[in-house]
Amino acid sequence: MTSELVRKEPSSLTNLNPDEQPSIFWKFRQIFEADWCTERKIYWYDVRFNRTRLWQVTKLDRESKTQDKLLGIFPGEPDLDVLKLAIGGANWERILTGVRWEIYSDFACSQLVAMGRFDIIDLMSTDRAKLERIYRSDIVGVKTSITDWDFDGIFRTHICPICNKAYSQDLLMFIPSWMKCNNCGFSLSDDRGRCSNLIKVLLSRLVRSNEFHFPVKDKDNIPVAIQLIDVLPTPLIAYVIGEILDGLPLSQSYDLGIGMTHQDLTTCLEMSIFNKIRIPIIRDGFIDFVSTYFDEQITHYKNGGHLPKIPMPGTNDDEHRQYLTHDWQDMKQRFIDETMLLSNLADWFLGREITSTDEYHEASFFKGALSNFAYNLETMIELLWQEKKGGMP
Amino acid sequence: MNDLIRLSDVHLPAVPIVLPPHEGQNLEASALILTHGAKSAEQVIVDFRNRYSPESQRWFRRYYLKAHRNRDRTSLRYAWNLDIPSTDRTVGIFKGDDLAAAQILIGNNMAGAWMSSISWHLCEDRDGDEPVAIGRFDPWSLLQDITPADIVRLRDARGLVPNIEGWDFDNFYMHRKCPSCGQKISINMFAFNIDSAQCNKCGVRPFLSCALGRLLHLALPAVTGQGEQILSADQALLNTVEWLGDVNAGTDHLHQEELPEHITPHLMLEGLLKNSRLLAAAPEGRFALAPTVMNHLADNQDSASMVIGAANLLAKTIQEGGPFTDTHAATARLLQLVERDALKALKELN
Repeated sequence: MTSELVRKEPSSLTNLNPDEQPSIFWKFRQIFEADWCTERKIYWYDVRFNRTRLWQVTKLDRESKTQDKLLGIFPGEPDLDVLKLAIGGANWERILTGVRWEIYSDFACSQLVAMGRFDIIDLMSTDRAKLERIYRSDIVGVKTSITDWDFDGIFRTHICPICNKAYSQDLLMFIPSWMKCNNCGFSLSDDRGRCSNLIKVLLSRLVRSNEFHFPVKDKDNIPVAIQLIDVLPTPLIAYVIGEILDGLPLSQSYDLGIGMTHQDLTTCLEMSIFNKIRIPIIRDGFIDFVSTYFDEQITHYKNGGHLPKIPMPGTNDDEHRQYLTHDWQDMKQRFIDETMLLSNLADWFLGREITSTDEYHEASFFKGALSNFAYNLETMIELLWQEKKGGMP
Repeated sequence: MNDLIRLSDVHLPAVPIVLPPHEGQNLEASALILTHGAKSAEQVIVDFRNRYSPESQRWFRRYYLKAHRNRDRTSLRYAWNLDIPSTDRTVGIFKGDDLAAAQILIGNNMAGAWMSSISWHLCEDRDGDEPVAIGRFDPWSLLQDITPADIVRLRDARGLVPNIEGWDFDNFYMHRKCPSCGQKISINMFAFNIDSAQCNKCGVRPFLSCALGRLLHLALPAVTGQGEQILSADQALLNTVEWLGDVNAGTDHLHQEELPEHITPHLMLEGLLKNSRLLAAAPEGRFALAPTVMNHLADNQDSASMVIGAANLLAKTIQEGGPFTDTHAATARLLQLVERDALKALKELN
């Protein structure tokens, strides 16, 4: 069931051509591996009285360990598997995409012992017998539910609450109206209570996840575009704004007083891509980056590349080719227009800019722009994954 | 990917004292019904402890040891405000560097409080530079590294014993005195349906009895003919049957605490049946359904006869006083739905 979302192979349902293509979830995990993370959480341990003590750094310019947070005391010499389980436990119910953990063996944090990304693969020992021994020995609390290890918010958003099956395996971004279970027919957007509850939970987790992060030291070999990818804050805030544009007063649809505050929404917006692309240079970089994908397709069809296997009825090959070239050109233009429009969204929502409100008043256009945006993010992941694969030895 | 751990035979760590049973006290074991997803009371506690382990808790209470000058004594102090040392409180004083005494004192210090999201830190110094032990507030964590000899020594030398009654820091147990025999009953409400708790001495179900008594009290005027009716007889009857059926109980498991002296729960249910508008008495001791419902079901003879059959079976069990089963609960639910549908159809027709 849930393993569908972490394994490498795509499902046979969604993959029409037989050549092996890793699933989008796997690609997402690969590009956010520890070496491409831009933020970090720092842990270190010391040993005294034959006990290992695990600490978390809460600010960089600290002078003594009393300023750090004590996470746990474990008997015996340091055991990395135990320390990793403790780190996993200490960060449960947080969304930590793009953040890595680092374990050091000294107070000054100069001896790096291990690092990895926040997910079940990097944090849980692969030695099942040892894992079982740790669980039985009661040294450290072991979280046993898959949703406890949900540091990307994917298990919570992509698994049907009724039958516990993954909704679909090629849809990475969380858009409630697309979440429909193939197995039991449950549709998230039809169940308003469950949907708004989920959004509230995710928002509060996002806001809580911001504590004790530090930027990584060396960012030179990390592509800049990775900072533009997120699969949770953007769709969450987009959904809420879509609701507002549909005419639902926020207080009525979300119980503004309970669990979700204006501050949560603002924080979420600041974490989303809308806040980043309002800066012209980032916006243009984003357009350039995604446009390479469209350009590739356009030149592919222009220069006589092979056509899709499914033919278009009533046309010959040349007309089909011409149609596809135009179609991709249109899509590229639409992407550029929509990005220009969405670049003002953060300023408009936060009330910084009052003049440009009219263009957002049409909710359907805005929602269309957002769903196209979701596709474009997946395109970016694809491009970055190819870059990462190319860079691998 | 890694398989997540699913072990059935996981046990709580050993502790040097005898703890009350994980299920609860003075319960009829055969009547207990586990909640959805629970395997045993012990498993539920193990899972809870793993889920809310000290490293995942946001808050902590810092206790520290302070040696007395020129004396072989140590104070255990609680740092109430980390920035203002003068507000620290002394929790206890003991001889030497006795960690066993310190941990028991920490537990007794917070006895009776609800501490699920708070961990305890025991440090050598006030600043927390040298932590000695950390744990969650529960007997298994507070009694870690303590031997039975320590317990005996502390009890004999200082009269210091763990206040186990008050060490239910996660609020696992719900307590009540049996209304019939006065025996103290407690049940692990994280693991069991509390309505399934039954006194092992007299057979009364204390939690169910109290809740149902209050429900029946609202419908009392239907039986006595005095006072203002709040709940209709049908609603009270079917809800009660549903409730009793879900935990396989009968009217003899209920105590009369909320009802007048001359009306036993059994008489009460019989009285409600007599006053029912849904189930009207018919010849030969049988019951017929109300005309509204019959009209509604007139098109479908099969379902009509099925509903009448089920209703008669239910009425018979009510007259016998139980015990009710899942089937009776399902029948009660069905009758409620049928009545609701019939009334809705009638409303639309008018």
